[in-house]
Order: sequence, then structure tokens, then C-alpha cells
Amino acid sequence: MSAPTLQAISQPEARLAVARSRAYETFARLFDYPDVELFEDVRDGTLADALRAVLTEVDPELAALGSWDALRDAGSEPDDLAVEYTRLFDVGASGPPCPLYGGLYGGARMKTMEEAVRFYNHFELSMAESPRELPDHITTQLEFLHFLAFREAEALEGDGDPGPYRRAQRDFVSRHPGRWVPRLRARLEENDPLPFFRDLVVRLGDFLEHDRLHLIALVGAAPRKD
Amino acid sequence: MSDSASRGISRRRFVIGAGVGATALGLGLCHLRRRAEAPAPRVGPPPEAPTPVGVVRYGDFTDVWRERWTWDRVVRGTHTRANCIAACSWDVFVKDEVAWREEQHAVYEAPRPDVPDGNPRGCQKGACYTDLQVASSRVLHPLERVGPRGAGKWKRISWDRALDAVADGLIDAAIDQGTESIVYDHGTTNAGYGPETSGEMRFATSVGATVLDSWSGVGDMPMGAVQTWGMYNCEGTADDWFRSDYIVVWVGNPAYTRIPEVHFMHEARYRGAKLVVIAPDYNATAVHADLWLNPKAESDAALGLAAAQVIVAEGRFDADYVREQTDLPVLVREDDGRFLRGSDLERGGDESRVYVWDEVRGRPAVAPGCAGDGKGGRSLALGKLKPALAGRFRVALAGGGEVEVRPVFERLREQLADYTPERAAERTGLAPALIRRFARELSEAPRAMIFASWGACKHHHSDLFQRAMILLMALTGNQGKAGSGLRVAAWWGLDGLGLMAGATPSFLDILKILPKAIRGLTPRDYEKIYTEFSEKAPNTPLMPFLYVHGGYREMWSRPDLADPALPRGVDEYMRQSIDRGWTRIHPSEDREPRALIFTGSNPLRRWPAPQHALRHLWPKLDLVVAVNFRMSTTARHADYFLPAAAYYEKHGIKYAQSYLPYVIVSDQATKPLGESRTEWEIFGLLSERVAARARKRGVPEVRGFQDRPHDLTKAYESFTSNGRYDPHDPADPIKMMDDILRASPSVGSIGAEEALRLGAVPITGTARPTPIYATSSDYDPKDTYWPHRWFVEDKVAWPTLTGRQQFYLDHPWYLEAGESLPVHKDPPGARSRFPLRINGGHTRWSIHAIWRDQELMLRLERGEPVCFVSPADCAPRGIRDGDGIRVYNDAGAFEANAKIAPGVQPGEVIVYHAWEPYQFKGWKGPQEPVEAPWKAIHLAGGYGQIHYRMFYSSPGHSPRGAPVEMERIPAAQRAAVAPRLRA
Repeated sequence: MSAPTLQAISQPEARLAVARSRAYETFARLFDYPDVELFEDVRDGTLADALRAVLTEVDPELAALGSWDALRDAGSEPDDLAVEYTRLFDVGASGPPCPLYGGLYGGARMKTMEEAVRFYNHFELSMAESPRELPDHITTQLEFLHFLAFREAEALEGDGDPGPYRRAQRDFVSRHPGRWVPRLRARLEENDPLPFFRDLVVRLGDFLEHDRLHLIALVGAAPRKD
Repeated sequence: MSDSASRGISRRRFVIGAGVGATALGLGLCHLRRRAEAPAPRVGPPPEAPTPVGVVRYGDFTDVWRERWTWDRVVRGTHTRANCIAACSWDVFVKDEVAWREEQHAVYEAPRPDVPDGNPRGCQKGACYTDLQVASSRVLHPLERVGPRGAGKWKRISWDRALDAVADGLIDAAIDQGTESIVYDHGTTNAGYGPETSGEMRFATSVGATVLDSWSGVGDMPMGAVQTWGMYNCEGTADDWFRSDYIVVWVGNPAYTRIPEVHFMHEARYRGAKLVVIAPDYNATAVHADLWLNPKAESDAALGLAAAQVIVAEGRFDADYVREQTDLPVLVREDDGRFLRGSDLERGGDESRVYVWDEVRGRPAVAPGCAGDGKGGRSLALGKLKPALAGRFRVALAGGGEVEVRPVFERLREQLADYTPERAAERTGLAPALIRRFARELSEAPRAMIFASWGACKHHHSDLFQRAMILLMALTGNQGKAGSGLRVAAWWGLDGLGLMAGATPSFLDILKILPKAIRGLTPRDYEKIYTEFSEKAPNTPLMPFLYVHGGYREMWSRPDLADPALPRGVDEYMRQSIDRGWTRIHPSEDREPRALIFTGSNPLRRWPAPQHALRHLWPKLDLVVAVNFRMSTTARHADYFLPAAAYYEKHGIKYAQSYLPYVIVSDQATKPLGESRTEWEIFGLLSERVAARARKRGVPEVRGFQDRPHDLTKAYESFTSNGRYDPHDPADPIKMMDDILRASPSVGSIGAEEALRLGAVPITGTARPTPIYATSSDYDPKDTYWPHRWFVEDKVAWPTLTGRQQFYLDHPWYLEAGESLPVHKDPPGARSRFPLRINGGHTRWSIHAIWRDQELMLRLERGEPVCFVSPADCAPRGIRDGDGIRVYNDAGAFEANAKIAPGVQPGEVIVYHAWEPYQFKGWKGPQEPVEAPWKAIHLAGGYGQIHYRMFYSSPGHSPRGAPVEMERIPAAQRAAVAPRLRA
């Protein structure tokens, strides 16, 4: 697909939406499977710097929270991140201890996935045929928020209405990753993770909560209907 | 880096490296796509043009729920490789490349107006497979072990790397110990009629692997049927049960295990049938019974023989049927207990010729249909013969002198004197009057049947149970009639199934069978063909394999695990059996297995006391490869995990049990999740890689089957039938299905596309028998279906030595074991100092280990491993309902919850089937204390119907009745049990 791009963003609100979109995409990609390049990016600090920069664009206070040392710790061997990712998120008896699928953190799995797909379809997205991932996977959900924030920025730059995108982000964050990432964080604490993954999830949780509050401030709280 | 993740990971490099504060931003979607970019759907309208930015409407989340939910497509699916006895067609609903739900596809028609139809079919497990295939136990990427085996440390690797590593490991094994050192275990979990099983069979052939014969290995071989009939297929359509007047459920619990079919039993009661359940425990089937008999566990043969005693003593047997269809009139020498044979009556006479006493002519006459009758043993029709059932006769021997002979029936009548209801009451715990009532009702019913499940094969002396059951059916003339006879199971054949293996008979093979084929092949001829076929490949029955290579010899040769009636130990029987070629071990005793590949099967969950395999077999293996869609206990102990597609993600033909006169096929609802692939593709690519690596490494021919040269560089040619198939082609499985179905007139030779449209393909005719699929009756689409009509109606000889249902076995091992006729024997465990016995059965909530840890199913029961135990056993041990208990013996122990159930007979610990060991503390599952000693005389061969071939006659896994003790776990230690589930 020819990816749309935003150049020379003029409005501060749009710049913020771009930064948030970028943060979502960065987090999404950091939950893809680790490879040797990621190991190097972690070890030489490139990744931590990039994520800190992205979060600084959103809100300098987000980036100032806590230490960034753990996101520079990739373990001692090039495989360490991959092995730990597999142990925590991929496989285990009756499943991994900390799966990255939101539907596995309470509620009916298929209903959770269905709502995610309904959101995607509403905004004219569908699941890609390749790679074949599920609608409630963390990367899919963060990609969707990346998309919505991007659309929000486009609307702002193009004199469109950003409201639908903002309200959708507010609802999707609170009903999906904002609901279950804190539970993922708690599971991680029980499973003695590499500090890298623990802090990555902590940073994501903080960002999601920050964004939820930001969106409520923009469009108000969601009406209680369920 | 994995293949399919590459897009996301390269985007990650871009995102991380894009620099701080970059204002140019692209929209980076990997797992999502814009709908307008989608290819035109197979079904439904084309995608709409994208809505311009800013025009979309969204108020709150309820808007997305208001939108109409439409399916992208609905396909016919089933659970092709779940090893579920039922076969049910489902409509699978797909949207956005996700299979969301399934619904029973109710298309089954009744063959006659006076029987109910088969609708609906499909149980709670099938109705939630969409959930299971996305469960967290699903594995989506090839994995390589990083830490020690079983430590749970893995990393993802690319398919390329996985195929290279596995191929090299297989080649190394073949170079070191020959190709037979590559051991392939399909268990039974993955058996099917379609491309997936075909891929595995072709792979095993292409690399010359030893194939473990797990039919007996899982304890599913009805050895009593083999001994009596020379075959074990004995089922019809489930609607035929409706025609029975007296349904006896004996060692089985169809309310749990035959969910789509059991309604025919219940409906039969509305037309006056009586339902009798014989089970030690008051199980879910017993609650529907008109009469419940609760004998002591493992006293079934005693009960059966007591009923037979009543029937014989009271003259309630069908003498004409007995004369024609059984060996009971066949003459036995009084001096040595062997049949009077041709070699006795004439020098050089045929050893396989046996005789009856013709009452008309007053002399011995060759039993028509026996293997040596001089006419090919084709027909058992008596003509003008009237065989005597009683009497004592003197016969002149060819070597001089005379010998006294009597019909088997005389010996049987004598032996049954030990089984009067009064005597049987001591063994069975049943009142004599109750036994008499049962025998009389059974013999008076116009159509009586015995439903026995595979559980009827899992006891040490299961064969004796079955011989007694068949005796009842034969004495009353029930075997071979509608709504009658012993029923265990049977399958529909498809003539095209031969294409699965890719092997075609040689010109010489065809020449050999041509004369018989011209006359029409009988079951006896087919058995000979199957045996010769089996001997051309390294097939090895599981229990002997474990004895020789698995480290089980020390355990199984202990005298306390043997039948005390046997004059020799297991070691001696095994030695003789191997030396005489009755049992073949691959790799041979002087070699060692080096590689193990298993597809879906779960040996460390299923094998007896699996700790022995881990301790002794695993260290011999340089390579252990799991191919599965989920992480099983055994897969945790593998070196490589190759992720297989789930059932709705591949094309398949479900193996077709005869309960339903349809063959169920499965369309591909979605592409495989993650990087998983179909087994057809996995094994095709593996064969290709073995060939490529062998060429690259310059590997010369290695030692193959029986040390014949094996060229691994030809593995791919072998797999693909010299290029006919191409596992790289996504349409290849359909091509394979098409080939199989078009070569199968019994389903109308329809093509794969039409079959996939139908989902349920009606049986329209009779297929050729195959090594496991032979019901010995012609199929009439306008009638119910029942087994053994060829023998009873057409007078075709049974494929036994005597050509009849054979209750007398004069094999020397059976004579010395005291089992020439069916008897009751206590199992070896009866002498154990441990007072309780583990029994069980298949559960309602899983198909083996599949679904066993699924949350939806766990919610329907206690949610964690549980033992059902009697209050009488719990009270003295201080065990209360819900307590944690430790169940143990000298071999091993496990911990679980106690469920106090008054329906459990005292002395029993009932553990329903297939909890994964990882669901227990320390991964010690209920097989730990189960030594499962098998019957040494089942290693016998060289005798009529008693011989080994693939999927026929070998010692079986007999886990039931393991002696144990149990104790309460103090509450302070309780929290450690099943911590994951409790959390």
C-alpha cells in the first residue's frame, strides 16, 4: 500500500496527535518479536532514546518518569530477549504466563475479539492476511490506535472533524489495552521477567493511562452503556 | 527472525531509527489493512471505496455494535484430526480471516421411515473449537529449545532454519544407526483420511522411519475380537441401535463418549427396548438404564460366563447358529487339547484343516471354511452336514492308534460348570437371581446387542471379557443381525485411501493375488494381503518397542506384574516371539532409536509410567520433534516444535466411523494463524529438505529397512509420487482429496470441490476392506447398517483358523495359560498390597488431551484434575470432598482433588481421561503410578488369526486397574496442587 504521510504539520493539536500516533506505533513495533538488531538497539541505547524522544513529544513528564536503564538492558546474550519473550509471551503449559492477547485477560474471548474487529471495520480496516495475527493481540490493538491518532491529525490538518477519531480512541483504549495491559503488568511481576520487558509494559501502561485522560479531557468521558 | 514477522520488524527499525522529532510520518500498518485494499472476497459484494478523512461518524462504542455483522463466508468444517470417534459437519462462520463460531450442519437423513435421523450431531467441544484454536496454548511459530529438555526455554526460529536443523538431525540418525532409528509416532490423535495423515505416512516412507503401531499402544485393540473373529471391526450405523430390543452397555459410557449417537439408545426405549448398563460405577449412562448391574471391577468375564452357563444349562441357545457360525462343534483331541487336524488323520495332512463330527454319517468331516478345507476356506456353509455339539468319539490316527475327540461345545459346557450364578456371585458381587434374570432376558430378546467401548480393551484381561461377550452373542444367534451383536467400532472404507501412502502394489504382488481376485477376495485373503503389506515396512507395536528400547523391560518383567497362571516370565515370551519372527522390533535390538517425531500425539501423557521413557528413552534420542497446534506435555520435552495449522485452517477428510453413513470433509475456513502450516506442507517440505541436505552433504545410501540401502536424496520424489504433488502449492491438499474421493465409488466418486460444498458426503455403496476398515457387510442406503452379514447371510468363512467364530484357541501359549476357552482371571494387580484400583474412562469434556485445559470446558466441571472416590474409602482415610489427595504406589504418585461420589464402587479411584501432566503438581500426572502390565501371550503368532501385522493383534496398553493407595494432603501443603488453574 502507498502509505499516506503528513508533512509540515502546522497545528499544535495535530502535532500532538502525530506524536501520540507515533508513540502507539513505536510501542506496537516494540512488541514484535526481538531480533539481533533489537538486541543491539537496546544495548547501545538507541531504542531507549527513541522511545524517550517519542514520549517527550507527547508529554515531557511521561518521559521523565523513572529510570530508562532497564530499556538499555538486553541481557548478556543476543538471544536473551528472544528467549525471554518466548517464555513470557509465546508458549507455556496451558499457554504462556503473560499472553499478549487482550481477550485472555477476562471476559469472553470471542466477544472481545469481535468488538475489536467491529472497531476496525467501522474505520474501514480489516485484519491483514499476512502476517496472520489475531484482533486482540497487543500489536494489532496498538496499530489501530496509531491509525486513529493519525486520522485525527489528518482531520485536524484538513479541517475535518477529529471528534469521531478521538472518541473512538478514548473508547478503544479504555475497553481494550487500557483494560488489560495493567493485568499484563501484574502477571509479569509474578513471573520474574527481564527488566526490559517489565519496564516496556510499565511504560506502555503509563502511556495508555495518560492518553486515556488526555482523550477524556478532549471529548469527555464515555457514557456508561454496558 | 521469523518470516511473517519481518514486515513488522523492518518497520521497527524504521520507527526506532526515524529520529527524534521527525515531522514526516507514515501510516505503518502490519496486522491491519485498509478494507479498500483487500482482494475481492470469494463471497459477497466487492469492497466499498474508502470514506474520506473527517467524514466518518462515531459517537461512542455502541455505534460499532449497532452495525450489521455480516460473514465474509461460511464454510463446511469439522475437526479432522481430533481423534474424535464422532464425525460431525459444522458450518464455520468467517469474518476478517477469523473463524468466529460454528453451528451444527444438520443434513443427515434417516435411511428408513421407522428409524430416527441422526440430527443434530455435534457436541459442546465441537461447538467451541473456534475458541480452542485461538487459545493461549496454541503455538504459532517454529521453536527451538534453548535450555535443557523440558525446561520450557525456547526461541522462535525461521522455518528455513527449523527444516535444516530437523533434516540434518534425521540424516545424522540415519547415518549413525540406519533409518529405522528415526521413530515416528502418530499416536491415534492425527489419524484421518485426508492430506494431513497422507503427508505423515509419505514422510515416514520417504525417510525409511520406524512407525510405531499405536493401535494396541493406546489400548484400543479388542484382542478378544481378534482371537474370536480374526478381525475387530464390529459396528454399524448408530441408527441400527434403535432396532435393538435389548441394549447392553458393557464397559462403556456412551452418554459421555458417544454424545452425537447415544440418543438412538434412548429413543429405542420408546419402542420398547430395554437398556441394561453393566458398570461398577453409577455413571452417566447408567442413570438412563432400565437395569443396572454393578459387578466388581474386572469381573466382567465371570459375569459373561455365568450368563452363558445359564443359557447353555437352560437350553436357551440357538443350536443351528452355533453349529454353523461357531467353532463349538469342532473336534478337540482329549489327549493334548489340540484340534483334530488334517495332519492327525493323514500323513502330510494339512495342519490348518479341522473337523466336526457329522451326525448324519457318523464320522469326522472337514469343517467347511476352515483354512485348510481344500477349497480355499471360502465358505462355512454346512450343506448336508449336521455337526454334533455333544458326544465323545474315537478317531483313527494316521500314525497308528486312536484318539478320543470331543466337540468344543462339550468342553465349554464342562467349563461353564465353574460359572454357575452362585459361583459367579463370589467374583462379581452380583446376586445369582440378577445374573439369571439378565441371562434369560438376553436370550429371550428378539434382537440383543452389547455396546462395548474402547475401554473394553484397556484391562489386562480385556480379551477374556470380550470373548465372553461374543460367546453370549453367538450362543443366542445375535451376531450378524440387525440391532444385534457385539459392537465396538468400525470404519467406512474408501477405495482411494491407498493413494494416501503413495505406495502402489508391484506387478508381482498383483500377479500373486490375481487368481484369488478373479474368484472374489474373502476376508481371509485380505488379511493375508494386509499382513504381507505390513511386513514390507518397519512397523513396530508400541509395547514391545518400549520393552526393548524404552527402558520398560525391568518393570514389565517383574513377576508380580505377570499372570500367575503363566509358566514362564515375560522375558521368555518376548525372546521366543522375536526369535520366531512373531514380533518385529525396529530398530532391531542391537541398534538404538536416535530421533523421535510425533504429530499431535502425546506420549508422555499417554504411555505407561512415562517417567521411565523420560529416564531411559529420551537420553538415547539426539533429536525430538513435536508437530502440533498446541504445546502438549510431550512437546515441552522436544528439541524443535513445528507449529501445525488448526482444524479449520486446513482441508481434510475426517476418518469415518460407521456410526454415521456419511464421510465428513473439512474446508479451509481461514489461512493458518501465525507461521503455522498444514501437516501436508510441513512434511512435504521436510522431505524436500532431507533430500536437499543429503545431496549437499554427499550422504551415500544409508541402512534402511532391514538394512537394505535407502537413498535419502530421493525422499522428496517419494513424498510427491515423483512430482505428482507439490506441497508448496496451497491447492495441493485439495488435489490429494480429489484423488482420494474420485477413486472411491462408495461415495459416488465425487470430486473434492463438490465434497467441500456438501460437508457431509453420503455413503452410497460398499468399499473394499482395508487393514482397519472392514465391516463385512454390504451397504444399502435404504437400510440401517450392521456388521458381519457376509458371514451370517452369505456364509462367507470368518478369517479364523476354523473359519468360524472361534472360542477355542489351541495355540500352545493359550493352552499353557489356561485360556484355550474364555475364562475369568483376576488381573495381576489383584495380589498387590495397594488396596485401591485406578479406573476411568473418556471424559465428556475433552477428546483426549485436546480441550482438556480449555477454560470453557473446565468451567463445566471442577476446573482441575479430580479423582472420583467412594465415601466408604474416604471416611477411614479422613478424606473430605474437595480435599487434596495423593494417589500413589511404588511406581509413582500424583496429586489431585477428591470428589466424593456415592456412585463410585468402593475400592475404585476413577480418574477420567487425559489430564495433561502439566496440570498436576510437579507435572506428575495420573499415569505415574500406572505400570500397565500387558499380556505376554499377546506376543503369540504363527497361528491362523493370531499373528501380528500393523493395526492388528499385539499387546495393548492396559492402564485400568492399577493398584494404588491414597492419602489426604494436609491443608498446609494443598496450595501447591495445580497452582495455575487455582490461580
